[in-house]
Amino acid sequence: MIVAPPQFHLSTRAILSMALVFLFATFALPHQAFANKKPTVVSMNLCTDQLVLLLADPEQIVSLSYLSHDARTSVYAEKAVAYPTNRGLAEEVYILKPDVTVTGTYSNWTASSMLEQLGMRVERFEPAYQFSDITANIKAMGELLHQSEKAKQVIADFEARLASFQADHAFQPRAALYAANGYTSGKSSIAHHILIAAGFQNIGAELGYDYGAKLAVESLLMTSPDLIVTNPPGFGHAKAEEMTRHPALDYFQTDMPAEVTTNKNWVCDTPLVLDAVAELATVREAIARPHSKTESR
Amino acid sequence: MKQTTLLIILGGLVLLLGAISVMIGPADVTLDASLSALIQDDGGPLTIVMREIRLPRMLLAIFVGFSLGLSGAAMQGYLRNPLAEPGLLGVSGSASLGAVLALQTGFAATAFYILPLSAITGALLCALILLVISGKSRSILALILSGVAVSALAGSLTSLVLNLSPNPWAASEIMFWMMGSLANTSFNHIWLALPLMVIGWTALLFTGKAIDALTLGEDAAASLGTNLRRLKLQIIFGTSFAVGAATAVAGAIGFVGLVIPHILRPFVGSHPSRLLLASGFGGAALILLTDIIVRVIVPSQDLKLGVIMALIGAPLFLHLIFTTGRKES
Repeated sequence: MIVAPPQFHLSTRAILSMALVFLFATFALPHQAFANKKPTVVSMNLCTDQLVLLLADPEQIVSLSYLSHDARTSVYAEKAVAYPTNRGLAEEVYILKPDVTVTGTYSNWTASSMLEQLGMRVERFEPAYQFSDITANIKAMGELLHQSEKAKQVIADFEARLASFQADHAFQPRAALYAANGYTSGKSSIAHHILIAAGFQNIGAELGYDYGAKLAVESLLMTSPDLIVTNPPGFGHAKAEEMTRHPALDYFQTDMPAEVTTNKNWVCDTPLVLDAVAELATVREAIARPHSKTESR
Repeated sequence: MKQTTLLIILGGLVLLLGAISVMIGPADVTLDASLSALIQDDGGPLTIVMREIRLPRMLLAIFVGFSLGLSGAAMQGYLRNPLAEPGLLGVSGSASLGAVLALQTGFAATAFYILPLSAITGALLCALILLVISGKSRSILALILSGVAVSALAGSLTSLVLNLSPNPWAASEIMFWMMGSLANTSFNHIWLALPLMVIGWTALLFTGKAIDALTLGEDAAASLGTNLRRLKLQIIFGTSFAVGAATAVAGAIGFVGLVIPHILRPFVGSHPSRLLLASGFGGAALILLTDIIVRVIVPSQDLKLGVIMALIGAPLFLHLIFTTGRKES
């Protein structure tokens, strides 16, 4: 009983000082930090990864989706390997406590809505269906990450380069996009706009597809395409991909320089879709040359 | 009915269904145009469609059906059990597992014949397991139950391998390996599977005399000069080659070997040997018919053959269990 009071005193003092530290930590520090620090970000989707890598400062990036490290689909994979990855699970992202979490409208829905319920800020990005969606997404990401100046510059460069492709094409070969399971993209897709910008017509749009549809091998053949653009073969094996290399399709590829496939530049809404346009424009010129010969005859 | 009459009727049925099969497809063309493009090269895409897409699909239906029907009849003759069938006993499922392992490990890409040979290896392993079990116990139930167990095991391992694949599309083909499909087949598939199927067919078609003798019981057959050891090997290897090669290119298709011998048995009397060739033709006709039905029901999608086959086969299977059970008791 005699020893107890000083102990009591001590602990009150301890509690008081701890409370002060706490107050300082929870109110003073963050306010100071927010004043000159740009928001930190976690991305849960391959395409938001690319936008983050394009615009954010390195210290802003907390974590990216695991797909960002895969150089086959991620255009900025080289930059991405410097950052930790997540598999889009709510608990992984929650413990990272980023200022904002970004993801695609149609991906990780359960995880991202759970994060919102837990009081975190989640921003969802629509996939791009046309080139103006790409610039809109870049602008939105720029604003979100306090990088509007950088975003403006990227958009200006993109639009200038895009304009250089808008030349008048007299010869427009008909191309069909043919991805796994026979999926072909319609007129509301970046792939369609890449074809158009490179001077091709899209058979998917010709068939009246909006976003896209599955096309049987024989239905594809009956459209007599000048070019079939398939996906590059993935690792392992899948029947879904095997069908896009059906031997009957070789009959139309005989005068092609080589097998034409899509690549990582086609996947996401980055300025590098214009690299895909440039690559395809070269293919078009290769087809155009024998064509102009027959025209002149 | 005379054996030759039956074979002529079944052969005619195969030809008729084969002709209908090549006339069906998603491309919107008239029957006239499609048949003439098949026979005469029109220089356009239709000839390629007919010759490189529909023709191999039709031919593969015949070869796969022949393999499954014949294997079913041979297994039933050897085991003297109307419930024996490669699909139900897990032979097809094990062949699928072998094929999937070869494809996903990249082993299949190393040489042309690796894919069907690993499917055949899977089928062989299953056949050996079943024979060990059926040798220990004469019970029909033990055989069918071990078939169920092997099927379940092979099916789950197939799913596991496909889910572990680095290819994002691989997991979606679990249905193909369990239900079977002839969609998107080409002549490559035929060159891959046909030679090995022919080896299997030859082995099975020459079992006729021995399985006829076996109807008298093993001792009587042996005293009639039947080499039972050789017969067993012929059945194991014949079934594994025919079913394994068929499964490697068309997935596991069940019930053909059950349904066809059951339908044809009344026409051949008590001679299991006469059932062999007839069941081959019957199986070909049934696969052709099923492949037509799946394309008519959902023209734009790849409905699996096994879906229709199970709708026909499963009720018959239940009926057979019911009647065999009654005979035994």
